[in-house]
Amino acid sequence: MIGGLFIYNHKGEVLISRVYRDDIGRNAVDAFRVNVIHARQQVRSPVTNIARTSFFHVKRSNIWLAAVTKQNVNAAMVFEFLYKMCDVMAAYFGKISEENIKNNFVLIYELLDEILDFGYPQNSETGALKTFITQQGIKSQTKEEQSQITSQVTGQIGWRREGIKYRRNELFLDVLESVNLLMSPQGQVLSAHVSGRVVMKSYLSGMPECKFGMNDKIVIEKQGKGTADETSKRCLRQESCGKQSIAIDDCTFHQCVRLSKFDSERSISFIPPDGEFELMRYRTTKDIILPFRVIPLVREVGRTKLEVKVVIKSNFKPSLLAQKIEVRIPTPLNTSGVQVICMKGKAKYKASENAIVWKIKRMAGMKESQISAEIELLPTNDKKKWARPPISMNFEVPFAPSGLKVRYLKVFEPKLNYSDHDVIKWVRYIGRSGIYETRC
Amino acid sequence: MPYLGSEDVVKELKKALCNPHIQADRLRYRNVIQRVIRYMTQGLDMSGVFMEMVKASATVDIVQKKLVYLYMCTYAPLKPDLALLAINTLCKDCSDPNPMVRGLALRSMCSLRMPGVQEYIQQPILNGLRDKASYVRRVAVLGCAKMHNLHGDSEVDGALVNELYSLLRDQDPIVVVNCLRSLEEILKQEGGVVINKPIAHHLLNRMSKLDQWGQAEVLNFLLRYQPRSEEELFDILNLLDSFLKSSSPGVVMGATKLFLILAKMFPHVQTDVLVRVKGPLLAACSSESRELCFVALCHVRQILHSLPGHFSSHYKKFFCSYSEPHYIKLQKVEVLCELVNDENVQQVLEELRGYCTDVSADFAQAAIFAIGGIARTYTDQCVQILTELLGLRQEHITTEIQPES
Repeated sequence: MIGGLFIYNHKGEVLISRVYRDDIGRNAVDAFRVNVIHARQQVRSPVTNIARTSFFHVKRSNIWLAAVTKQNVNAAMVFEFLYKMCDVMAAYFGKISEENIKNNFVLIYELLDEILDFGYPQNSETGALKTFITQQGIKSQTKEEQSQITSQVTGQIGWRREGIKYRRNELFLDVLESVNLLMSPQGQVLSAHVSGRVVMKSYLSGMPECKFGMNDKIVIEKQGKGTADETSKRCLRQESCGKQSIAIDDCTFHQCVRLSKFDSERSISFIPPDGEFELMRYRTTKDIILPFRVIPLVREVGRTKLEVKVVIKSNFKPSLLAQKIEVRIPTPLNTSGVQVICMKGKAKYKASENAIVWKIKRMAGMKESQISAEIELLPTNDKKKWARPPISMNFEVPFAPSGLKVRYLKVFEPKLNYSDHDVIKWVRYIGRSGIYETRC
Repeated sequence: MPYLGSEDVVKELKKALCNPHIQADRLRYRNVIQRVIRYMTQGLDMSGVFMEMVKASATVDIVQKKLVYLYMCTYAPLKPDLALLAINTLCKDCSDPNPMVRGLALRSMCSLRMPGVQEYIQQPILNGLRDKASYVRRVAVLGCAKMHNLHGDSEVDGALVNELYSLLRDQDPIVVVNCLRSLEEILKQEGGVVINKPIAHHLLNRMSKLDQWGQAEVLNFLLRYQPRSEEELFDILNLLDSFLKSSSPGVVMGATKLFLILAKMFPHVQTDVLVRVKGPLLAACSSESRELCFVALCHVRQILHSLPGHFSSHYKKFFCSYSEPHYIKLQKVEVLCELVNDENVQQVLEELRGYCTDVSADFAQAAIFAIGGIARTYTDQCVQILTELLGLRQEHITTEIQPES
């Protein structure tokens, strides 16, 4: 399994080093530093093989985490473990930075002992870990606390303990999506997909049963099946309501969701962990609402000038506002000067990045904005034809580009005296751009 | 590595650890110990304070205990005679009423790599295997493997192996998985743990109770089980089908591997298996996480080597976005090269052609090499493209094309 785990800062100095197997020596620590951290090229492959030893690494801000092994391991699992390690550390002390690691190295060694015994991943659920590894150290526990901890660490429902109480029962649902697009110069979508996650923060008492409903196509179609009369009535109703459903390509759920119920009735029912957790992850590739359409027009005037005009159209409800919009228009390497005109937002030519960066703070739906630029080129003998990189965009929109809508989240806790209506529920949708490129 | 001034540091810390005022104040005591550990991490030789650290292990503060044990495990090989003194405290802690302390002490004792420790570990481990707290059992099970590791080529203890096999039926899922791992290490000479029919079925039935690490491990162990009948094979495939869609990428990859190996053993289910496996694998190839994307692409390449032509209709998924990292783009180009067929050759070549004029010379060359590869089957189109590229008269492109022709 994992023979050793090392954490380095940006200079390559070792902050944490834990060796689990005899076949990994101190020179492995140095090998990684020399061959990966101080390597010549900018971007390194996440897996490096040096002298029959495999190094898997992940980078968080400027901290390197490396797992080392000499055995044939499941690579996806090693990376998943490194991510989990980062999540657990972040849950304890926030951002993963050199300072935080140095201040909490005792805690990190405790965690490494607990979650990676002899190089094998053990229990890594943050909720369980937090009950017996605290930063202040455990004061001598009463017998009751002791049994509670051991039962949670080994209990039937490992992700939630009994007896949680809140005065105000609240839950927050965040639908976080990332829309990715690759568009051809002619405006044809080459590939587009949305990857999303539903994150739930629940502050509910007891052991509540929750049911989550969204506008899943399959569910709506199932509901549509009934007698012929009913079906026709429903169809009419659906048309008049303009119900939009989404076809999910694949989705994965948190451990707490009962998969058998999902398979049979397509209903998502679960007992949630306390606090924040990721309920589901999904991907769609059909019927995606592309929030922005980029229309580029590039004209070469002789060999010394390039005229570029880019129009962006926002494609969503006029009442919604997109934010943090940034359009990057790449410029050739032999650019001498750029004149830019834009009515909205601010545009600047950044020579170091070889791009014109156009930033718009806010833009409402169904609007259009335009930027035109005249790029002066230095005459070059180099006959190298400039392969135009695509125009990329960044933005944030307050709706789900996949079309996903949360229809309900019902809470049942029969043993305590609060009902579904007493729970305060909040939903918000955040759609961000992932890789959103339009070739030109 | 000699560090200047380390002897002074050791002296200072020794004084601090012996100071009764500091010993009385729990927080200050712990701080001094933390400093020792910090220097130890940085590479300074802290073995000089071994005696004082041994004395510090007799405490009720669990965090302090953990620190001291960490220290001892690091330096025990260097000071074996002193470490034996520490074993007393550890043995006592192995019978502490608090299961956390018992587990911690047992784990630390098993990590003491020094000769002569085996006679002291045997009994605590055996007690640990039968402990009522599952936390301690987990540690004890892995402790068996650690113990075996220390001895190297000593004989395998038959009674212990039997006990571990019976613990495969334990209530606690992590104990079960640790047993598998332990047995695998102990029985390495004989080919690892034996997965016979009752064990395989037992594991399959408990899969849903395991966490993602356990599931990935069990899927790996199931590779060595061969189903005896058609019915059994289909039962297994149906049961494990849901794991192909697990939220854990490690489990998805593990399940994919198992399915493909079963398909090799029973070729008539190959088409069915490939259909089930394709979706999750393609989804992983466009994962948000770069590392997992890279891993998935490597797997797809492997599959295409032995089963060519399978992802041909999904060629668009392997088109490169400009801002993707280099290592992912290289993998995608290789994949595109392998999944070319009559229907998609035109579009794939168009796309690769675009990459040949990329800013990065490495990537451009990889794209040209790929076109060269495709040229073996679709000579005309490729030659046309390559000739056009030669016309651009760019050095790095020309040098790559010439060996092709």
